[in-house]
Amino acid sequence: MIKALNLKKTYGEKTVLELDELCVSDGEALVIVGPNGSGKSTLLKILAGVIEPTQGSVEGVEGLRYVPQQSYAFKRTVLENCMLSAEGSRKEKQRKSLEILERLGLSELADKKATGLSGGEKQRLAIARALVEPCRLLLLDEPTASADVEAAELIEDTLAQYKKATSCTIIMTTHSPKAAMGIADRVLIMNKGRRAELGTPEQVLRAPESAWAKSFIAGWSLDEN
Amino acid sequence: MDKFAEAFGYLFSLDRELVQIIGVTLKMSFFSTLISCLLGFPMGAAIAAKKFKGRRTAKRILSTLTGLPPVVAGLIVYMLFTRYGPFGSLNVLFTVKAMVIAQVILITPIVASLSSAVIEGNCRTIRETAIGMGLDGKKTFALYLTENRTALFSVLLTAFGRSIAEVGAVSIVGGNIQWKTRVMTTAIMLETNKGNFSFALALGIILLIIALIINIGASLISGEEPCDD
Amino acid sequence: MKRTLALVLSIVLALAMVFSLAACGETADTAKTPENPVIRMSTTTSVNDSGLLPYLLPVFEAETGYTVEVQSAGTGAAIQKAVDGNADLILVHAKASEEEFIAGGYGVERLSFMYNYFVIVGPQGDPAGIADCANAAEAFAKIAESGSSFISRGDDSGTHKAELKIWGDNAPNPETDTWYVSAGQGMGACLTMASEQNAYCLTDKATFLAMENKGDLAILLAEGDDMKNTYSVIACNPETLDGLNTEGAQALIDWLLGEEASKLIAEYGVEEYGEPLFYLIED
Repeated sequence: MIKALNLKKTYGEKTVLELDELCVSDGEALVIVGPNGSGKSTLLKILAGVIEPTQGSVEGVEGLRYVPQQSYAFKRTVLENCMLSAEGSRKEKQRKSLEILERLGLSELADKKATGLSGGEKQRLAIARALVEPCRLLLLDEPTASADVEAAELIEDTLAQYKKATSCTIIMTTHSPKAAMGIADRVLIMNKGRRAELGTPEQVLRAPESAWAKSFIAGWSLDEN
Repeated sequence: MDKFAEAFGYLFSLDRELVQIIGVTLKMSFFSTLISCLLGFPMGAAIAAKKFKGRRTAKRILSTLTGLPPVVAGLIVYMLFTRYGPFGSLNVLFTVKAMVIAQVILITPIVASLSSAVIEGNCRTIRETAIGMGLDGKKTFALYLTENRTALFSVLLTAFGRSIAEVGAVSIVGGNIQWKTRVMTTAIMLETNKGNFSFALALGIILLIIALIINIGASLISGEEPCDD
Repeated sequence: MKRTLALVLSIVLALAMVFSLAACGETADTAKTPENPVIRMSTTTSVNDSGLLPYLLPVFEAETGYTVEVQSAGTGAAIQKAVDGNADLILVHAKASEEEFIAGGYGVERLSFMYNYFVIVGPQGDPAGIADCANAAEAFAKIAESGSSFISRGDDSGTHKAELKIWGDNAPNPETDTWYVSAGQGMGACLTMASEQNAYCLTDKATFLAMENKGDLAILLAEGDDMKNTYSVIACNPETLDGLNTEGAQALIDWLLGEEASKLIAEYGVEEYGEPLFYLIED
């Protein structure tokens, strides 16, 4: 059970995140949506332990994997990048890495220098690195942002399989309604650093409570077309 | 002019003494460079990447030490290892060991300072990525070094250059003893003091050629693409 | 707060620069400043290390208004600098090299004006037992026999040449005779090494007495007939070299050979060490 209490993040005068409570059950998939600057990435970074909150506490985040919005490829081959976060003997590491690379459509690039990949390919590599081993909590910041339609499907399928196989908790941010609906057990809509709506996809997307959320959802679907 | 030719004549005829001097020079520079980098790289990474109390002070001290005059480093080592000093019983003075010690004191801060500047560039990103992959502190620290290996290699070459060109400290603690602690730079000093200016100059050029050969060898090992590729 | 601090610091720096420039502008008050007031003297490290010149020259400078720029280096380099036209006169103590200098047309006349003795210093315990030797050659033989450490200048200097003359045909080989250390450094540095390693060394008395940390070293043999060290001044030859201050060089040479300088030289070191460091050549 992941618990975030009284989280607040300020930069000088500006408050970018203010969340009184957020609980995520084990094995749940929480998808966070909201306009740019709503604090989605900040929340994820705090949960990942990459930045410190100005106030508040986070519990239950042991054994996490985090895929940031901008991923960094290590100066080695794609396969070696994956093997970095794999465990076991060298042979096992290689086997697990090749498996996940295959799932994400990167096996042809396995021996290529990772620094020469396109943005979308680097994103998938970062996801592969996170998924090569089972984990308790998976945090993903807009994992399909740089992906084309085909790649996005690969990513979504892989995530769904992973969740089924490992029963890990998934918290992810996205701009894509399809992704939200597909995988989410609950959806969190954020606006200006605060929670606007929280509930199951049906609750939130079909029948939002606040007026703002209503207009946000409406605008959202229009964009997707 | 003929003194000049004389010096190169010595080199090509593989004059025993000149070869021995070159050998001592390379041996000393090899160890000085190796040890200063083994100490300096992790220091630089730690200063760049880790938050700890007194980090700012450490950075400033390091920066100041890069300006340590070589002759002062020599004096410090001399006073530590003189017969009447704290480590006198080790009989290290006037040996190549003492020269390496003095050079390590001199060059490690430079290596640490330069590597810190290099690693500052991407340590934040590496850390974020490493956390995201569940890598432990040790692995992350190692990545700071390996991900910057090309730039750090050039820092290593800088350390080597400083070592092979140094004369003040190695004079004081080595004593320029023929067949024992005479290196190219102190030999050049001696020839200059004897008034053999052309000969000394030729030795200097030989020294540069040696440094050039080593740098060429090094660039063959590394080699990265320029920005506009 | 930071800005005011920066402002204060820059003002202090600016003031410091102004003051130092002003100080440079001040000229020492001199009686009569000659036309070419700078005399360049090239001498050896041994002479420099003895402290004689800072003791003598200010007297000359005050009287005549000249400024003497002293450059010291190893004997070979000191002479080479004069050959390159960078000195007006030389003060060295290596007879053969001096005669070569004059034969080559670079020097006018060799004027020997003072001497002292080389001495052999070593550890007080005197392991080679040289204290009773009649002369340096005998002492050297004993040192070689016992294999006691000996530090040699190894730099073709006046002292080194004198040392080699004493060895004669029995000069040790620095490569194979490990007790014989060819240091390739100045007198002061060699003495320090001798002190560190408890070794013997041939040195001029003046440099040894002026040395601060003698450690366990003591003078074991002094004044053998083969240990005399003669100092000469030679004016550089304007017929061969350009841009010389011939008048200034001559004025300094005349003064050095004159009565006042003789008196000062004879007194130098008496108070501090109980004996003079240099003796005058009576002509």
